[in-house]
Amino acid sequence: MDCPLHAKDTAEILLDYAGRRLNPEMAQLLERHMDQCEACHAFASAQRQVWDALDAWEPLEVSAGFDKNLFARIEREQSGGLLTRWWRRTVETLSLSWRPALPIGAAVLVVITGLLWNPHPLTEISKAGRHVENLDIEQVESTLADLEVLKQLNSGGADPAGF
Amino acid sequence: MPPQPSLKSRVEGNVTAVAALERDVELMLRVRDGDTTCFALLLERHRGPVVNFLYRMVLNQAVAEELAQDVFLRVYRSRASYEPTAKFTTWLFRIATHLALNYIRDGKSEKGTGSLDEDVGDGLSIQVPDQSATVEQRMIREAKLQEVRSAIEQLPAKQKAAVLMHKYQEMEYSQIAGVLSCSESAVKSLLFRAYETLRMRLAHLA
Repeated sequence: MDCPLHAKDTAEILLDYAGRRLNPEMAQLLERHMDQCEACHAFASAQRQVWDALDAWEPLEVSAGFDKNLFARIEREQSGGLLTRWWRRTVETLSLSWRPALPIGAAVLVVITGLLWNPHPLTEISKAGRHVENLDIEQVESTLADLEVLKQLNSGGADPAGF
Repeated sequence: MPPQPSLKSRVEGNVTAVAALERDVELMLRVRDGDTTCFALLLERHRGPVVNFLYRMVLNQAVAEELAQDVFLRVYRSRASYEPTAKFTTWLFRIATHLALNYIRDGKSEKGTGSLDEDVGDGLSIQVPDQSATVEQRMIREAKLQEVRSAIEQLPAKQKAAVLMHKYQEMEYSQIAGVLSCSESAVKSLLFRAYETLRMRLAHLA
């Protein structure tokens, strides 16, 4: 057997040997080598001592309330804060009444896209074929009001998520 | 010559280990599908190893348990998008290592001899006392333990993580590489440097 310490790729078998993780056949080969190689013998001995010392650090017992605290955190996160609950309700409202909201949502999306892609919305013609020469703020406000109406219409409905 | 495990026991151990790994993936896939009971089973199986890994990284049980809860919280949050591209434990310990390294980097870990002088200093550490040992034996054992903890604590963070996974979680080099997102040869280098340091620091305990 070639000396494991002379090659990086094989040196780890000395660690495995010290940690009792080497298969019996390889362990026997290594022991025959260590009978003649002082360096490997010293390495394995020293590593064995480190392993035994590390064994002294026994595992802790986990606190009794660990699981309870974890599940409480999960539940708090799932129920969410005020903003999270509002957002979830808004999304659920839109998903419950998606048919009438779809064209309104599309209109809002077109307006937002126009604002983001074109710094001069007064002069741009939309790709949908609608000619918007002037940004009509009243149109946006009207759209948002429609969304509010939809929310109110569904405010008394059952919450599928149970919130 | 330290006794090496027999071929039969090694094969049986490997079969059990593979079955456990497959079970972890199976459980997590069920969590993905909405089965929270399976999440509780995964927690039961991995709670101890994760907490102890984090405790040995940060040397404070209260902090370790809080970080461990963060680990499992992240696992739960990610359940919908879980894909078994790696072993479950690789993923789990990758999250744990990431949180531990962040905690250490942010300088929140308590350094200095004060926290290592007594168990009270590391926050609610609960170790099962050895009732059969004499007082002198317990004192010697405790002194030895402090030396080990100090030696581990002084290792660079990545070397520490690699040693803890290699020694206490009995992970293979390839799995440690997966956790640390580096190559196997990089892991071997880390471990060799770490163990060399530990051999020097703990030689007097022989």
